[in-house]
Amino acid sequence: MMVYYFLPDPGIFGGVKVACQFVSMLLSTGARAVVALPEGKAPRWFSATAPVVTHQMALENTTSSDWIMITWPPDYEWLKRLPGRLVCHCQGTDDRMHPIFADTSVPLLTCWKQAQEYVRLHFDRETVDVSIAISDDFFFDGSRKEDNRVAYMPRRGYSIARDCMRKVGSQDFIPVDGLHEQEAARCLKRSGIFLATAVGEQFGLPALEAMAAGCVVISVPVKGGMEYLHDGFNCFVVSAEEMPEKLDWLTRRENAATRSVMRLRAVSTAQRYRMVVQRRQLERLLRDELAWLKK
Amino acid sequence: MTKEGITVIVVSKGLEGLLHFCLTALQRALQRLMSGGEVHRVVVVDNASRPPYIQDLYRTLGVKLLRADLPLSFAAANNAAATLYPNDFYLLLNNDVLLTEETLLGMHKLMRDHPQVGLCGSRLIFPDGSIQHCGVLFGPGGIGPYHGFRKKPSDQVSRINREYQAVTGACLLVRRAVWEELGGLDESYPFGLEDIDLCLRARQRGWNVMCHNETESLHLEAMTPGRRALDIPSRKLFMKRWKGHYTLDG
Repeated sequence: MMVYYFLPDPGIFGGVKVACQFVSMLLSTGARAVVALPEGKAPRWFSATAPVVTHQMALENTTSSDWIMITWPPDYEWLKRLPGRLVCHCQGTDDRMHPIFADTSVPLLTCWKQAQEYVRLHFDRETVDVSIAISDDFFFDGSRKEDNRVAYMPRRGYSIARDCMRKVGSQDFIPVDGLHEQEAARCLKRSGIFLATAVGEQFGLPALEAMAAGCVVISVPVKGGMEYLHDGFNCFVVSAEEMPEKLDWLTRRENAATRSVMRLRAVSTAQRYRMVVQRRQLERLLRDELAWLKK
Repeated sequence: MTKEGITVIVVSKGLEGLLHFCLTALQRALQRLMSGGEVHRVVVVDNASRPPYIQDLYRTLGVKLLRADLPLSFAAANNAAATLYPNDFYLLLNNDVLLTEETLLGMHKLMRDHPQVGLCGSRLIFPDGSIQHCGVLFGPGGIGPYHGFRKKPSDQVSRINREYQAVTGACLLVRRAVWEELGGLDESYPFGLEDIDLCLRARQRGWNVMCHNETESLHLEAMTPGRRALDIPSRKLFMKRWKGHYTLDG
């Protein structure tokens, strides 16, 4: 029995990293699993150990006893025609996922609570919460941090970041884009603040990674990520329009102590999402609720 | 203990004195593994040595000697020996590796306890106590596979048995099921990196690859004259086949 985790592309998308991490964890727990990508090209932008095969190789070798793991909604139509058993590793709850949620023959694994609740509410189905983890590279290690560095990801919500730059000229704004994960981690560990500007984000892995790196996060509201974003305690959650004002307030000299406390709380929160924590949870699940995935 | 047998394959050219040290250490390691009933075999492939190894000397050691009059690739030599002497496990062993007594026992136990582990490598050290091998990492671009922690003092590197994408074939225990599923080593490689290729192919089939780090054996590394020259075409072939298809962990 094998698990074939199908992905459409090895590019810089959070879902690709989460998928590869999940396969690595399955392997470490004794399951047999590989990532299947169209040309068999492995992602180059983060560290991983998951084996990669071509779609073609996966299609040739899949038998009815294998599990076909799906996360990308458009793959559902063609993957369901394969001989293997479908299982969904749910990394989002947008409308495109609905046909999969509605198919009761497909077991659902969810990565965060909002997704679990969404499926329960709208489809009256239970899921197995397999959680999500962030790479150990991101965790703040006491290296030099610059309080006036504000990191942001221009790929989504650049206009919000631009408004912040206009409002708060005293800060150094550092775009994090197209970097290898380790470079992104170094950048975040050196930054004091992170602007999470992706409106409509499902979970917001970058914001959690920034918290692990000891950044004070100012985030727009997201869906699943609200389980770790606690406004006023370990971050600030504001609307896109309010973000420049909040950044201006946060960077004032008299708020240095607030920034320090927030950073410590952020790192503390992120500890719950360490790889080792998720791996232990997965080991427990594979002995119990998820035992079927190894059969 | 187990009744499962191991066929140890040592591909060797010249260096008979070193080979005897290797075989003596191996015999001690096999003794530690014996529990009665299992059939372990030691096969030396004389890879066109000048002069040839003398059969009688090896017979007294209980070693099967296979003679190749023309040099074979590492893959071809191992494949031939495995075909002639099939067993539950194959141990590929370089003639310049001196096993410590507990190493083979530890590797075998690891594979017995973890049936999903198809291949198991071992920590190897240089004579100065620094790491020669404790797992293979993969770097970006043209870096490709390399030995992690190489030349670091062994005492300073974690002894936890770890999963890797690949381990060296200098001392490699392979489950027969994996060997047969993959058809052994790929004989396209002139000499070198066929071991890494085997590990990557095994992982594509869902097998785990681990390095046993609890013990360490001595590896003098690439002692056979002319060995290094064959690395270059092997590496070219490996990179042509695998570059971009392994994940990066180094």
